[in-house]
Amino acid sequence: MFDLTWFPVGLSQIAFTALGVFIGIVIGVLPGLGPLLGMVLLTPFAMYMEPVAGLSLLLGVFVGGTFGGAVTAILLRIPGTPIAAATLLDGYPMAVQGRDREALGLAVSASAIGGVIGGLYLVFGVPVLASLALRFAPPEYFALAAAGIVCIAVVSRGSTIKGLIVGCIGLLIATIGIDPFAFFYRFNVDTQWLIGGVGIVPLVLGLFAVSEMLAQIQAGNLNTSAGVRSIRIPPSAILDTLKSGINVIRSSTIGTFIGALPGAGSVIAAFVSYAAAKAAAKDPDSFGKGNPDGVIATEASNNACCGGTLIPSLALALPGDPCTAVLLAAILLLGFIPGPQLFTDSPDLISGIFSSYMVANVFLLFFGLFLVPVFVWFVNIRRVFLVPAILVLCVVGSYGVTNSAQDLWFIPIFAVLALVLLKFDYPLAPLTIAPVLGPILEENFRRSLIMSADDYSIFLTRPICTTILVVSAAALFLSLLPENALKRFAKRGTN
Amino acid sequence: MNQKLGKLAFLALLLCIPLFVFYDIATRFAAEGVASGSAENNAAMYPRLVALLLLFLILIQGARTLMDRSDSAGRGANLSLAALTKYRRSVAVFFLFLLYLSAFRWFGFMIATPLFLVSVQFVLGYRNVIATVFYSGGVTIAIWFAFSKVLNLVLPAGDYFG
Repeated sequence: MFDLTWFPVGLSQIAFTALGVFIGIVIGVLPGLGPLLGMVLLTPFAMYMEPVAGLSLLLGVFVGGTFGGAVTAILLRIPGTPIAAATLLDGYPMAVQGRDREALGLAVSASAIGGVIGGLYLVFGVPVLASLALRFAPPEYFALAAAGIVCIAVVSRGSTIKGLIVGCIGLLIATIGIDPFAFFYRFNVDTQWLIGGVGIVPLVLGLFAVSEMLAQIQAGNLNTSAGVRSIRIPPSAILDTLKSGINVIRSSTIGTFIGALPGAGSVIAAFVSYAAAKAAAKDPDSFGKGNPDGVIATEASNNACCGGTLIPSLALALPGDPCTAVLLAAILLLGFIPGPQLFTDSPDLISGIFSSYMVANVFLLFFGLFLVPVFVWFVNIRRVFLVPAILVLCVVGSYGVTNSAQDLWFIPIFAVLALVLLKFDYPLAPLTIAPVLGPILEENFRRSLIMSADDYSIFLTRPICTTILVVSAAALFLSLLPENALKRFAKRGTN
Repeated sequence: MNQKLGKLAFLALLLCIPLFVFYDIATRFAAEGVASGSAENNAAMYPRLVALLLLFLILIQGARTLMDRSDSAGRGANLSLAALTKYRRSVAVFFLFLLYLSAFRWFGFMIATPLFLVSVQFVLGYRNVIATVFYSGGVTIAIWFAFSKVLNLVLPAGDYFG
């Protein structure tokens, strides 16, 4: 009926970026849901579009969803996403003092400006990193992918060992299906079902969407509305944010650099920026009691973090968090190979991603300032209407990507796995990222050994590869040390 | 169930994963001649390494759990029957979800979806029949329009009706 490819690229790119930001904010404001769920649900749509437009839609959701959580954090003291947890420290006290319009205005302006600053780091940082990475050979790629898994496990919620266990399970899941070198089906238990391996979309939908819906049903309060009153934000909030220019630049820089570390993510970035803003403030005691700088620092940081996480993802095909893992999966599904070659093979796609990311932040500012009453309406929708619709979207969305009714059975399997893992305090992020990094890890591991005629010393004779592996091993070793030993070591150092 | 015992039982369950990998390598991989040799032909090389690492990590975690004197498990590792009864609504929706996945293929999207939406709303305690009917019909048509008409994706018509 509609041919989504007939639009000129520029127009469809802008339109789908705007749509993505709008949907992202809507999903972000709904407590418990976040940009990841939005990106996974929209991946099937993105697959049927012109590549730049499809990725613009997902980037829009990423940017909008990262901000969306701030609305409920400020108005309800419930962060819509964990990313907004730091925002409520000062945002909610401001709302209690009757300054909710000001708090939301600062949050949206700081998010958009922080996002643009993060985008500038992205635009100038990625090509440099990618040109360096073009000199890498399989051993270096293997080391990078291994470092990515280690980083994610180290900073994951819960203990490092638990993170590594989940990461290894993810790596083994990625080996199901055909071997990349020998023509042989691995671990398919002689069934046709597993020949194609486990798709990332049903895996992520099961892990994050269906398990979250079941958790929300468990939490109750499905038939009650949040009862948030509609408010309008004064456009002068942009000027108020710019008055704290140093705070915005500092927080955005922290957010970008923390975002570029695989696994660190927006939550850590927001809390570190909050601490930095508090340390630099003349009246640090006012933080936590409704200081606007607290809201500005956390929101500028967590949206700049989006740009940061895109840096290793685009330059090295190393996803920093589950959202960028889904974005890389979408790039693969659209027929491109993520990594530094993308810059030489498909420069149009890269420039499209850069421009969409910047445009997304402009739309974020526009929608955030003028459409808050619409988002508040979504906050007030009862869960009893949302949960069943999202479950159906998970099924149809997964079917849209795989075109297989059999693959739908991965969704409940991974939903149950997610609930059990969470029960025992195991993190889920490594399980999302490992299937993306797994094939990169294996292919480059075996290519390295083919290069060296099965001599494992190749990983220890190349300076860059060895450095990456040694640093990862050191990080792993430090994270495995008991807390008491670390404290004793730090005390001895101070003495 | 004792919380420490619950954690150990879970680790024992996880232990099945590397054991299955080793078993498959020793039987199916070996029979096809891809369980050894150079990196190019050895399909077992990488999964075997990952499974070994996983086995090692599970054993370490098991030892840590055994040595842990505090019996404070994660967010309620208690899996007793009494604890499970409070999950009855989510368990019911999960079973409806499994039924929906089966019905999605057998009866097709247009029949399975509204039935699923109505039944989930009923399980969740919503009793406004008219609103439920409009909601389930509206959501079904909206999703059908988005996927079938906008994306040109053929949704299952059902094995019985297709």
